[in-house]
Amino acid sequence: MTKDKELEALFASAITEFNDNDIFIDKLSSRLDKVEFLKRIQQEQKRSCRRYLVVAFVAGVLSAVVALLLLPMLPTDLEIIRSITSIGNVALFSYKVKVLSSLMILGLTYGLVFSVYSVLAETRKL
Amino acid sequence: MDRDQFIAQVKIQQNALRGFLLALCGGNLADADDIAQEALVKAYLAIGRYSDSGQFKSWLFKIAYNTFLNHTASQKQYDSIDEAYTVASQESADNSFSHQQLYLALSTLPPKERTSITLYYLSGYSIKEIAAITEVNADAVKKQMSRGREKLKNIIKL
Repeated sequence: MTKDKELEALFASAITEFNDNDIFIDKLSSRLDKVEFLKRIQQEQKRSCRRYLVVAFVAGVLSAVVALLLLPMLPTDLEIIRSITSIGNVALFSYKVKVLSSLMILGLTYGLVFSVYSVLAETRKL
Repeated sequence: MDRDQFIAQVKIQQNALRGFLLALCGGNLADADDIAQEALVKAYLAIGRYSDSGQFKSWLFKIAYNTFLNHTASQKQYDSIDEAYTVASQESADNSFSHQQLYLALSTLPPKERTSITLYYLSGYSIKEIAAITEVNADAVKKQMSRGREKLKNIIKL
């Protein structure tokens, strides 16, 4: 494609020399300072988040270990359950007792991990 | 590339970049500088993706072009140069430039034609380079150029 000479001349005369280049760069530097500041905050937040996750993970593992240790000690004898609860007809639940107990422990473990994470996150916010 | 190197590169290219955006914005320096600043911040944030192949200017122009397309300034396209004149005087565009007529004529072109013409005649890029910057094929650039050039010549009566 060949260049149109008249347009070329017109555009050549339109090349602008800006006399506020230093101000433009100062403005850019100031914007970059803000960008750097936000980046630092984001990185700090990411680091904190990772730390909280590690703590919550450790708490979860510990809770799971405790739960596993407690599992064999869970009551299976109907008489024991009857003696510690006011439910009369426990026979219906008898074969599900271990499953229900395990689910409860899992729920508690999850609750503990979630609480640890929330408490750490809230503490950081304050 | 660290921040100081980035600023050093920008200092070299800022005149060309601002001139390019000034033409795209129909001579409105405030809009052009807003887009330039926004584009440079984007470039800085994306500096990790820039492969140091000596094409910093083209890379910067590509970001500036995309920023321009997303900016309201790119939606300002006038039906005639008279309308552009009226609006420009109402918006108190920077009339200190003697080439304001060219800018206003450019603002009557669709953004893509405006960009191709500006990159070709003002920034001195080849069709291939314009195709790379605007991410369209060379034939499309040629068509945009051809259409834009005819319109521009009719408007400014060359």
